[in-house]
Amino acid sequence: MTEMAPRMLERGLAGIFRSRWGVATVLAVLVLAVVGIGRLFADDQSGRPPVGAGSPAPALSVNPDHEDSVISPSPPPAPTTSPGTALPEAVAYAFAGAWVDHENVSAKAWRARLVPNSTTALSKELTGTDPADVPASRVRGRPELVPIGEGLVDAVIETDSGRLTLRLVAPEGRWLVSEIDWDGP
Amino acid sequence: MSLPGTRRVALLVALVATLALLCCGGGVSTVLLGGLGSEDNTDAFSTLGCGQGGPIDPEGKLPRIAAYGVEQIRNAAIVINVGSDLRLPPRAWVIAVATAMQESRLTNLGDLGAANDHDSLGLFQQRPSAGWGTPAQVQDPAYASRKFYEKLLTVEGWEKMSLTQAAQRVQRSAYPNAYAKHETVATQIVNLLADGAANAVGDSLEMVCAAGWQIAASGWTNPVKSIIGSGFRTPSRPTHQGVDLIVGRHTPIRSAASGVVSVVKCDEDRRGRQSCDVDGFPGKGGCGWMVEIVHAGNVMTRYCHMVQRPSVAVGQQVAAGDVLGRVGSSGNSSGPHLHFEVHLNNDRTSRGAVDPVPFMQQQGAPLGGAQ
Repeated sequence: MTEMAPRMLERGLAGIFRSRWGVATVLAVLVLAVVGIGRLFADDQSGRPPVGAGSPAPALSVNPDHEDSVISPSPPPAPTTSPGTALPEAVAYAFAGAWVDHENVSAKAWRARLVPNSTTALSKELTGTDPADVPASRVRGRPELVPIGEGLVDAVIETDSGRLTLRLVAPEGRWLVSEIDWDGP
Repeated sequence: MSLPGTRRVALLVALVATLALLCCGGGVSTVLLGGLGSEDNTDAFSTLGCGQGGPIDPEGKLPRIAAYGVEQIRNAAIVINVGSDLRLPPRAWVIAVATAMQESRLTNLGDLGAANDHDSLGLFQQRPSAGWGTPAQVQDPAYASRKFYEKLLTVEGWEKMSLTQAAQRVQRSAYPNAYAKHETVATQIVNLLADGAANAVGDSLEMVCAAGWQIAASGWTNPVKSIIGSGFRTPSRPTHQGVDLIVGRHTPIRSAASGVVSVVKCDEDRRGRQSCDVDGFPGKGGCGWMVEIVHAGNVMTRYCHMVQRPSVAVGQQVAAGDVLGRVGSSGNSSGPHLHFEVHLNNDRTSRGAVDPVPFMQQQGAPLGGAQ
């Protein structure tokens, strides 16, 4: 028996490959098998929402002929400043200068210099911060403003040891720093 | 042919195998690798569940995650396991991983000499002089993680805060918003190392997938329970940059994640008019009363066609689930629905738009839910 099996396999295979129809059939079966298996697995991995997540698009289009998004998303306008209040660039520059000035200063004094240009929420977030945690000592250059929305602007300031990014808001017409981010070298 | 029998068999088998590989090698390997969950295919892990499988063993085989080495991923696994052992919900794990990413890039840092920030040490850069523990203790990843979680638990309402706010209450950094940028990758790491735990309800120990108004551990939630209508860039609407969520007039619309409101306006129609307090019509053009929010990781979401002026203001910080306004039909609309868009890279043009359905699915906050 052990010698019969390879013998029969050989005959069978040789028989198939002797005819060009046999070769074509083998190829066709292989292609169908692989495509079939592929489909089976693809279904599992197509990121289909799980049960209960809602079947996609029951064709309840509200207005198929027209677009309902913003017609032309214009870039955010340059920040405007109420008369008699400081420009966002000036607020950011003053804040950055006070922020980096962290040596030989008590936590209380350091924070007190930041408060005039901070939102109440940011002042609160800095409660308990040790100014020793400030990684920079000097501001290098003027803030570069990146408008995010009307009344929302980021100010990027290069320092001696990294980049300080301040987010400014103008809740009551007056620009204030609301967020501080830092990217080291 | 004078080859012995066995060699002829081998030749024929080799011929069949070669043909198979040549004709469909790609398909075969895709099926094989996809089925086994290759190390590079991180998505295959993240969609496996909602954390029921529990965190993986830090001493076991670890998946590879771009930009992080084996040691760093082991540290992340320790952070997650300690959170799980302390019976803290998965949102805490995401916060802790993101915090360690910012503080130490998930590296158990020793004393860096002159470059060291005072006596800060370890994964969370805790300072022995500030009472966090001995230098040896804060350099033990499990100890450091436990101290982080214990402090987090003393922060009232940490579950509802933005990730960066919660982290800041513990860490007291001089740059409080630096944690936010790690939220997306921290979510992926927790999903990968804990069977999709960031998809689970964030403030619950049940480890069930977030649904309805529940906020996933990723920090994301469904803006409205709705029927999903017209999809993103369909063949019939190739320039439709969002998804239409069909839902009744006046239904509250909730912020999909924490962030800052960047736009509140009545969008101009095709003729440049700003008339949003009346129902619009197809062909009018414009988004109607709308809100746009910038989130962590330079993701923006946009909410259109509200029935009246939105209830938030530009610059306002919102938490996931905060009400922004109510569903209406202002602008280019023939009936009440929420047109919802997701943009990446803070790009508010159509170039930045992505399909909200798979995006929200990946955040563990699938759209729909009203069927």
